Amino acid sequence: MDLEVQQLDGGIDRIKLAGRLDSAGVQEIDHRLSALTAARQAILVDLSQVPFLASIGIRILLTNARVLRQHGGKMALLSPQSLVEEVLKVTGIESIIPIFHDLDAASAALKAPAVGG
Amino acid sequence: MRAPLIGEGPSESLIVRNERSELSRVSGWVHAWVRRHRLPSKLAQILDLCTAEVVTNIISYAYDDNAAHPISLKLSIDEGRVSLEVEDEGKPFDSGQVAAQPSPLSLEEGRIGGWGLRILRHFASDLRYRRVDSRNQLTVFFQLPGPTPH
Repeated sequence: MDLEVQQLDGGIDRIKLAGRLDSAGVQEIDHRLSALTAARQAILVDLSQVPFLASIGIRILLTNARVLRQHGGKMALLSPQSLVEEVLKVTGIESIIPIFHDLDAASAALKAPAVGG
Repeated sequence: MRAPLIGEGPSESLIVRNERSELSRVSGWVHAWVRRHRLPSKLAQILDLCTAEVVTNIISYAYDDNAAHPISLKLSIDEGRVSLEVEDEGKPFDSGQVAAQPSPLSLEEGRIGGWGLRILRHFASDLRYRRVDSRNQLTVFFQLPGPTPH
């Protein structure tokens, strides 16, 4: 699994993942993603090139979103493929890590002040 | 291009060890099976995901020792549905009866893991579990898409 970071306006880091977010994929990105969420405030995880999301992949998204929240940051997900989006909905993840299919809307949401600290 | 006829019953098996490194072999086997039977690619993705969740559960929770144990997998088609049969010799675990992880209410609440059962139950049309001779036998059924009405 590949991980590429692109810095957007407003202090947002767009993390483009490419490949399967399964057990092997999680192992490949775990440390880099953790380092980014520990250091940054607004992370947009671009899932457009992720064809497969297993429960272990959900776990890494939730863990990092929680770390971000603990230091006042935010995470959002961008453009998941249809089956990946279905998995995010079925597990209820979309209600706590918002999903966007539009970069501008995602950026606006990440720039907005955090609700409830 | 058509779906296999009802009752043709092609089936194939795979035996893997209870190690995470085996998951890529499981995925390759599922995709090859779906291609061979000319089934829809969406079904391949669903089967891939659900097989991974079942096997991951077994690897993670079925054994207290560090020994290698076999996990037997079999895919077949019958009466308009695909069945995935999974057999392991681990602790009794009925995927149909265990409570799935509830949806998290917020980032601060709830557990971080345990989503496999919820995913499995969403995509499967039925689950059947038996404990036979100290083995777990789980069969997961997936409905094949019917002909598109015109």
